[in-house]
Amino acid sequence: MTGPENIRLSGGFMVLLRALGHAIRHHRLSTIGFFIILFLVATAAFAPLLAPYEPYEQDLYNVLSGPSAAHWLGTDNVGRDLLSRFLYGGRVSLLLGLVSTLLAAAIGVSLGLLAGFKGGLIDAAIMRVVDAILCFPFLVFLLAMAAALGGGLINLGVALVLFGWVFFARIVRGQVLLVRELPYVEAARAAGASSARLMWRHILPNTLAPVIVAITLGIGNAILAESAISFLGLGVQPPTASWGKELKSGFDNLELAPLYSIVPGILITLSVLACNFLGDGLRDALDPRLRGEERR
Amino acid sequence: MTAAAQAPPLLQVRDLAVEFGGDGGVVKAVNGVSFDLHRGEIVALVGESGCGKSVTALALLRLVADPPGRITAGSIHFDGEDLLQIPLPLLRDIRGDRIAMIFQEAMNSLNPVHRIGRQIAEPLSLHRAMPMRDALAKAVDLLRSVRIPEALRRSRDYPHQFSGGMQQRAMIAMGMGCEPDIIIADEPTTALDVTIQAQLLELLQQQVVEKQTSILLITHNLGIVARYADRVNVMYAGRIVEQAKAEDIYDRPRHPYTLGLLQSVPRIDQAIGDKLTPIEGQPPDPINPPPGCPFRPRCRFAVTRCDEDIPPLRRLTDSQSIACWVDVDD
Amino acid sequence: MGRFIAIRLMHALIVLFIVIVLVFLVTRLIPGDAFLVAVAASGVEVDSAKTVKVLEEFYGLNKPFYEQFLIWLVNFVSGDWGESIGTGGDVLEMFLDRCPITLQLFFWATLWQFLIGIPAGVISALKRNSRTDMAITTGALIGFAIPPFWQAIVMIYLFAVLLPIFPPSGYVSFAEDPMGNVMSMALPSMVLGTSGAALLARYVRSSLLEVMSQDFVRTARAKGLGERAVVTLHAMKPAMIPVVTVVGLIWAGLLGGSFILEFVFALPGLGRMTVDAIYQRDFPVIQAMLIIVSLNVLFMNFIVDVLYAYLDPRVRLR
Repeated sequence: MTGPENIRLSGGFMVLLRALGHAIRHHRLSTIGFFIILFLVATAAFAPLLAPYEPYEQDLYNVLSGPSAAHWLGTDNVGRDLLSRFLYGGRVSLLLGLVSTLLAAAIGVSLGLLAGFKGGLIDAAIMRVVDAILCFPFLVFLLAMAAALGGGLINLGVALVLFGWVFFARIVRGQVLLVRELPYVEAARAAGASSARLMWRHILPNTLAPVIVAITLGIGNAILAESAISFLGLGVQPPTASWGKELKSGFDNLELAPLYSIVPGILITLSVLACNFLGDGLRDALDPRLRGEERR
Repeated sequence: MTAAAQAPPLLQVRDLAVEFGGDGGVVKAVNGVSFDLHRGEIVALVGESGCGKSVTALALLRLVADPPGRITAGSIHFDGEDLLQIPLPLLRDIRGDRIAMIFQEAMNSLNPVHRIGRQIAEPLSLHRAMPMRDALAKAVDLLRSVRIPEALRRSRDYPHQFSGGMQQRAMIAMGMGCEPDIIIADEPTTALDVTIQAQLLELLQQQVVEKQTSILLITHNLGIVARYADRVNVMYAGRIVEQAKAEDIYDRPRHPYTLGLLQSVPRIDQAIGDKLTPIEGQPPDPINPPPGCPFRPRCRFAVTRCDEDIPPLRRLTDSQSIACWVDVDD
Repeated sequence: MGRFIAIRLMHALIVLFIVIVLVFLVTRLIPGDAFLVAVAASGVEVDSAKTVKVLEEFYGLNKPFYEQFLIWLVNFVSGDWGESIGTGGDVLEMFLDRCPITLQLFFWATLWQFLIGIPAGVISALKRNSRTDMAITTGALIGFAIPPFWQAIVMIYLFAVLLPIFPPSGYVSFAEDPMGNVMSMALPSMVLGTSGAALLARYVRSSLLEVMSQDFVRTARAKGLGERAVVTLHAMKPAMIPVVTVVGLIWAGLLGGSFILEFVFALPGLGRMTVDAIYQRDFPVIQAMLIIVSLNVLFMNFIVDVLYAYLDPRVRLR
């Protein structure tokens, strides 16, 4: 990586693209991760073209049938084609993971910058709320929010954002405190650069690398969490398909149609694994020093 | 000195070579190094950082990290055996017992989570089969002998509670514990202030006088060499370029690099007003060294032959050799 | 050291207060139709609007907000955790009733994850870049990514349906049938411990690798110690100290994981109780459980901080 001097925002993105390229080329696991993600996103995006059936089309004469030429993965408990359900389910699961993580990142980065840069009471207030939220295990928090807000896709997304921002705020605040003391930022401050300018030109680009890594890992976590909450029936509501919801219906019919629950499980595992692979690769490529970061 | 020189050397290093392999290419960090160490003498290995002197020191006890490092050639004869050939368990009996090492940066070389006393006692209990209680008592004596005040209480401290100089003294105490035949001291006093440097080196010198210990002193500091060493090996880019008695090096340096080194440091016998002249340029790229003499690009005395052939170490007098096609003394 | 503990304790108390306020606020968001559901379920013909009003008075929901908070807080601290809307039972009693089952699950899961995670991490670090290392590292990544409930389903399918070794679900008390108890705990605790084991393996590996490259490990070799002694006497302790910090993380994971696994394995523990309460919007139970869970995490983090400081002389003696 080039030195931190004068990386402007555009430069930051270039570094990022190069890191992505480097990770994909040189880090075997992130190559695998990248292509799995590409594949899953493509199947979700082109679900209407790829799906052999309408995902809501019932066929009550043909329920829980095993794999056949007509239905490659069989049918569900009301005779809907499982392959089509899984393809459409991927749209929900992946999109929810992506959107909620990006929103969480936006909120977390802003609050983290604010806390790190302003310090004092604002910092203390934000960070104590962060600490308080971190007292709840991820799943417990999501369940509590499901109880308070009610189930459903949107509420689940809100809950994911309400929990997810915390990690970004912590990362960014830590980075800001580090970067703030760097000689070139001190120099810029001494030269009379305004706070907003300092934050935008000097501090934000430097926090980009760990944030990108956290986004990659966060998407995986969100997908995992969505599946857990939908599995408990508090997330995505019928008749919409999501991997977690399909998994639950499959579990209720485990002995009759094992593929019904096994395939969505594999899809969830694969996508989370792919995100983690890519995240690890990016972390190594962007900054080897970050490898120690996960230790608090 | 003369008597010792007649006896076979205690440690005889021949054609030692160490490589570091990475994705970017292979670095020959040590490239055919040979020297002797006799009983009761202090031999210095001098050179700029990166010249391979520390790697040489580590290689003597096969402590070069592998990977990425490999000892690729040579022999190290000690007490009739080749340390590079004997099985590891036998080498372990020698490490810390008959040949001890004192590392630079004692701060990092001492275990942060063990008490100082225990760390000094460890080689004793290991090699002397001493019960831990006796070993700890001996450790306190050793700390006292390196002049740590309140040694008993201090032996129960952790390394971070010691100052830099005290940490380094503790390292020396650790090395002296088993009364080794050889102490390899790798930059033992770097980063310490001058008065403490002198104290520590005198401690080492005292070992030589009292116990007939031999010391291999790795340093970049020519002042230390002048004051404490009996013989000197000057290293450059993984090779020894000049071997001589310490006084000869100062009075009659024969290799251009040695001459350059001497002219770049202030000397006590220098006329006031004489200018210091640094050696121009940088050491060669270790991955793609140029053909011919590695010092050629920086050398004032170079001749055409230097471009093609690497000069071997050749003997000028009984006690002085250089690896150079010219002799700056001429 | 005393000062350090005092500061940590203060910090934990401040966070606890924020947590309590948050929990109170969030549970007040739970829509009031919980009463309607409960009344309808009781099957008694009543004027539901009137009944809800009576119930709201009974639960103190007609009082001003801050008053509700104070009453609730005082009651909670004095051991009056209220009554469940769903069952009418005393929440503290329900909690104490279910607690042993969840604790058993935690005990086995913790044992399992330490027995698997730490040795795996150590082996992986010592045989760096070998096939074994690759297998362990990949295994840990998969253990991380696999949804626990799905892993549970696969395990049930493999070891309870196809090969009926373990019961697929249900709880057998130890007093009734010790062997049956262990068997009923085996699958859920293994699944519950998986992600913790994966996390431990990763941390132990990276921590030990870092320590093994330190200068003092070279010093230990130079003293003449064998490789095993170098690792056990010199590298393990400094490598394990930072690992202590993830125990808090693992504990939080266990708490979260037990919620969903008790559901899958039909174990009548605290997690199951809470999930049921969420379905019924039984806010006294939800409230109490949220406080307990966060108190647990907070306490664990506090213990970890103190333990870390105690184990590392560089922090302890500052």
